[in-house]
Formats: sequence, C-alpha cells, structure tokens
Amino acid sequence: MSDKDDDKLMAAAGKLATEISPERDLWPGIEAAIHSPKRSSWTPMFAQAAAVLLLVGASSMVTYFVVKEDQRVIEVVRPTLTTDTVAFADRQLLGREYEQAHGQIQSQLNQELERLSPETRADVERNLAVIRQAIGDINEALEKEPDNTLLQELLANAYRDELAIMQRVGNLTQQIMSRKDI
Amino acid sequence: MKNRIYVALFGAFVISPAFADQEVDESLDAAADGEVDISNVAGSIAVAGWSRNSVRVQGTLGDDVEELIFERDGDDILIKVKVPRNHGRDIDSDLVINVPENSSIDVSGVSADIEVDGVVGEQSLATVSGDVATRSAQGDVEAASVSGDIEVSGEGEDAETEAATVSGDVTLSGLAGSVEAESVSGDVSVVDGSFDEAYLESVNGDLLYNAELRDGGELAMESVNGTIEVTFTSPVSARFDIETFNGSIRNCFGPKPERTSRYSPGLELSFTQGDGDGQVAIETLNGSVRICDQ
Amino acid sequence: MDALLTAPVSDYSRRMVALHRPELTDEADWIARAQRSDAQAFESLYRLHVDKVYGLCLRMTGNVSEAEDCTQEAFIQAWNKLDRFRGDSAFGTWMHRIAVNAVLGRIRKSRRERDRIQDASAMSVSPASVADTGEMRDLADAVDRLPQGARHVFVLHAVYGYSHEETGEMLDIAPGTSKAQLHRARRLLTQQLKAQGFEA
Repeated sequence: MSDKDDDKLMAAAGKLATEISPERDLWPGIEAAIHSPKRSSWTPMFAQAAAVLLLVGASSMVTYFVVKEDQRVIEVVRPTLTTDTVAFADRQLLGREYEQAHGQIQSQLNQELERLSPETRADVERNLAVIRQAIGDINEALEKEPDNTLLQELLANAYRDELAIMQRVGNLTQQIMSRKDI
Repeated sequence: MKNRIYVALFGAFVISPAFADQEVDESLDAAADGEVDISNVAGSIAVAGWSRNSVRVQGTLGDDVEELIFERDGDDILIKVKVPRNHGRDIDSDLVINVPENSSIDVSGVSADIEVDGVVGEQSLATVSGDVATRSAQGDVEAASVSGDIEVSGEGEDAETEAATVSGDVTLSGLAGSVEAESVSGDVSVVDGSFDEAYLESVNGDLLYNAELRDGGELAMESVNGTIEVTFTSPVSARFDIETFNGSIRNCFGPKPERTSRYSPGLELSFTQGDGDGQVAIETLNGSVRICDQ
Repeated sequence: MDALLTAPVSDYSRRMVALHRPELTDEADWIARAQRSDAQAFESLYRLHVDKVYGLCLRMTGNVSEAEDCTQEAFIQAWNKLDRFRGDSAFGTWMHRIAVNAVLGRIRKSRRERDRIQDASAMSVSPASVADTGEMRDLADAVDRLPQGARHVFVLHAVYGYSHEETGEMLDIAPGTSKAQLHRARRLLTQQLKAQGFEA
C-alpha cells in the first residue's frame, strides 16, 4: 500500500458526506416513544417499532428481516388461526409473503418430524399448539383493543417464536446428524 | 496429523439377547485448550474436565452401533457414535468422556442426555429429547433441547449463556454476565447470579429471576400465560416498565399499577428505582407479576 | 467566575454562544426548553441534528433499516438523558456519542437473536451509500463492507474526524486498538478500491 494511495484514500474519506437525510421522517416514532413513557427506548427485543417478521427465501436458505411498521397496528387475525389460514386483514403483501415463508418452514419441519421419535414428534406438535393457542388468545384480545401496544408486541413475539421453534426443530437433523467424519 | 481409532462392532452375528454391549476405554493425547466434538444419537453423554492433556472415552455401545469414531486432527478431537442408516433398535450408548478442562466442547445427541462438569471453555450442547445439565461452567454456554430440561450452573464468571428448550424447564444458577433463556411450555428460572443482561421468555411457563441486576443492566421477561416473579438480591437501580393484560402486579418498591384504560382489565406500572441506570421490562398477557427486593 | 459556574446551564450556554455563534442561540434555547420536557423544542433539536446523527448511524451500520432504528433510539435516549447534558460539549457531539452507544447496543442484542433469526442486515436490499455519488459511492460501499470493528473506527476517525482518543472512548476500546483498526481499514479499503480502479 503506497503512501500516495493512502493519502488519496484518507482525503476521499474526509470528503464523504457526514450529514445524510433519512429517507423517511423518523420523528413520529421518536415522538410516540417520548410521549408514552412505557414504550421504553430500550426494548428493541420487544420490537417496539417492528411489527412482524417477514421471511425472504433465497434458494434453500431462509433468512429473516424485520419489517418496521412505524407504530401501526398489526391487523387483527381471526382467532381460529391455523397456519393454513393465516391472513392479515388488508395487509395482502405481508400476508402472502408471510404465508409462503411459513409454508416453506412448515414443510421442512414436517420432513424433520418424520425422523423424530413419536414421543418427540407429539411433544413438538403439542408445543406448537400451545404457541398457536397463545396467538389466537392474543388476537381475540386485539380484536377488542386494536390499539393496545402490549398486545401488538406479544403477538409479534408469538409469531416470531412460532417460526423460530419451527425452524429450530426443522433444522435438527441437519445440525445434529450430519457431522463430518474426518 | 491424525490419530484414528476405530472401535467396530458387529452385532449381526448376535444370537443371544443377553449379549453384552461393547465396552470402550480409549485415550488420546489432546491440546490443552482445543475443541472436542462429541455426538451420540441415543443414550447418554457425560463430559468431565480434568487437568490432563488428553481425552479419555469410556462407556458402552449399543449392539446395533456401527462404530465409535475417536480421532484427533491437530487441536480438534472428534468422538462420534456412528449408526448405520437402517439401524436396529439397540443403539443406546453411554459415554463418559474426560477432556482437558480448558477445552471447548460441542456435544450433540438426539435422544441422549448430556451432562457436563468442570469444563472451562465454550460449550455448545444440543439434544432433542434428552436433558442437558452443565455444572461449574465458566465460559460461554449454548444449550438447546426440544423436550428435555436444561440446567446450567456456573462459578460466577462473566460469560454469555443461552438456553432454549420447547417443553422442558430451564434452570440457570450461579451465572454472570449475560443470559438468555427460553421455553414454550416450561418454566425458566435464573437464580444466584449477577447480570448486565438477562432475557427470560416462556409462552405458558413461569419465569423466575432471583438474582442481581448490575447498574446499567437490562432485564426483560415475557410470558403469555405464566407468572413472573422477580426478586433482586442486591439494591437495584433501574427504570421499570411492567404491563399485563389480565394479570395482577405486586410491587414491593412502592408504586402501584394503574389500569391501562377504562375498558381493559390491563395494568401497567412504570417507575424508577434508585438512579434509574438500568432497565427492567416485563410483559405478560394473563400472568401475574411480583417484583421485590430481598 | 463563580457566577459562571453556578449559572443555570442554559444561561451560560446562551451567553457563551452569543459571543461566538449567534445562530446557535436558538439551539441553546431549545435545549433549555427540552430539558424542561418541551417536546416541540426537542423536535427542533431533532430537525437540526438528525442528518448528522443519521449519517453517523448509516455509515457505522452500513444498513438503512439499522440506521433508522439507531437514529430513533439515539434521540429517544437523548430525551431521557437530557438532564445530564451540561453543555461542556456541543450538543451534536453529545448526540454522536449516544448514537454510537445505540449502534453498539444493537449489536449486542442482535448477537442474542442470531441463532433464531439470522440477522438480515447482510441481506438488506437498501444500499447505505445513498448520499454519495460516483466514485465516492464506491468508497462508501467499500466502507460499508469493512469488518465491523474496522468500519466503526474508520467512520469515526477518518470520516467524522474524531481523534483516536475520542474514538476509543466512544467505542470503549484503547486508542491503540483504534489505531490498529484504522490501519486495517486503510489496508482493506486500498486493496478493494485499487481493484476497482479508484481515483480520488
């Protein structure tokens, strides 16, 4: 690395813009947080600004990213939720992609469940039912109080938990059985 | 440079059902702080740290096990119970393994219980229907099960601990630093520790935090239907934000909860204790919450 | 002298500021009011400083969505900590420190979720280099792709002009480490950009 190149680099670095305008107005999110003190600034893991996980499939890898909904309510889902009928009221785009990704994970999970003992399979299915029941309960409550931010957060976490458990169990064989032999 | 030891078993010619499982007792020299990878589909895996620079594997292997692989490649040691694709029923193997105490270990099983004692290095422990227990842990620990319980106990050394199960309970004691513990229907308990970060979550299980939250520390607990109980074992300085939809909130520090709205049974409670350096965030749908000091 | 030391922060700032930078008396006023929980005044502070905070967050995280989170979190934390702002540094610098903390805090938290949810900042479709054009964009892209530690130091030191001591303080690393990371950043960037035929 020659000094000349380095000087050019550092000179250029000094010219990079230090002030960049965000693409959208971030003030509403901040204002909401400072006006309702219970929305503690620290709770990123409770997804204060994030509404729901969107899954994007890329060949055989499924990755998540969080879609921020800027404090808007997650649409109420009918309480008789099953993974086949999940549908966000008028959130077509979100609903369709969520369903697709959910379907992908579900089918990998089904394959995995075949490999597990009947007891474990039953255990997993029982616990997925627990999560789905919780999702249903939270949704019922949300129907009565669509603006309740606690319910929104609990719902987002329950959806995230469901996917996380499904993915973790679905990947078990890959993780545990296929160990290199050398 | 590889040293390879095969222990091959031929169960095909067994006639007597009382045929004894194959015994194993082998040792290999090992790096003082290398990595030991262990995998056993069914049965049990017990790992204990010792002060020798060698790895010893003892135990019994099921009749239908194809072979035990036990080999070294530089700083890595691999121990694997190999079962043929269409195996018979008798693959349960019980392994007792000694590793240099500063090793890091990666242990996995399917219907195998995992027990570890006295390993100082990082631990990654995963099973499906077995239990996981690790004692005198000092380094980062990641423990996962599906239907089994998880128990991690430490010596108060700062480390990152993560424990996740689906139907089992998680019990973490004597740990420090940062901890993350989740279950779906099981209970999660963190006791006798001192943390900068702690995250406890269950859907139906109860959550218990009976430990210290350091200055500037962050504690988050979330359950849908379980009760949440917090007892700080030393004076806490934090901002508290607690919300329930349908459960009660009892607070030893004084401030009382308020109704979130006239139309909802929900309660919320926000207050500051001490200088408010840290953060405590608690959310539950139907559970009750109790916050106290000792 | 005693009078200066015991005067309420706002008056002190205002007087000092009026001597040197008349246009900043507004800012001092907003700070004083925001410290008394005036959200509108805080919004004015936000409007004045958001581009600088967002710029820092964006360059440090290399990712639009993370940068937006970081910016919001920084202002929210600033609001909560306003009473601790004593005016011994510029408000913008103070915001920068809070922003860096917000970035570091997020990294700690996202590590926790890594096994459940693969952090998609690597998969983000939004380029962070939106503010730069032409070859500066190449440089900005290359900076975004630096390993985290090197990127943080490069952004704070080479782009924002903080000294190694200040950079070390903000990132909670030794100044020596900051220098080492800068060296690494320069080496990686030069390699990368040479391959692209970069001309400053």
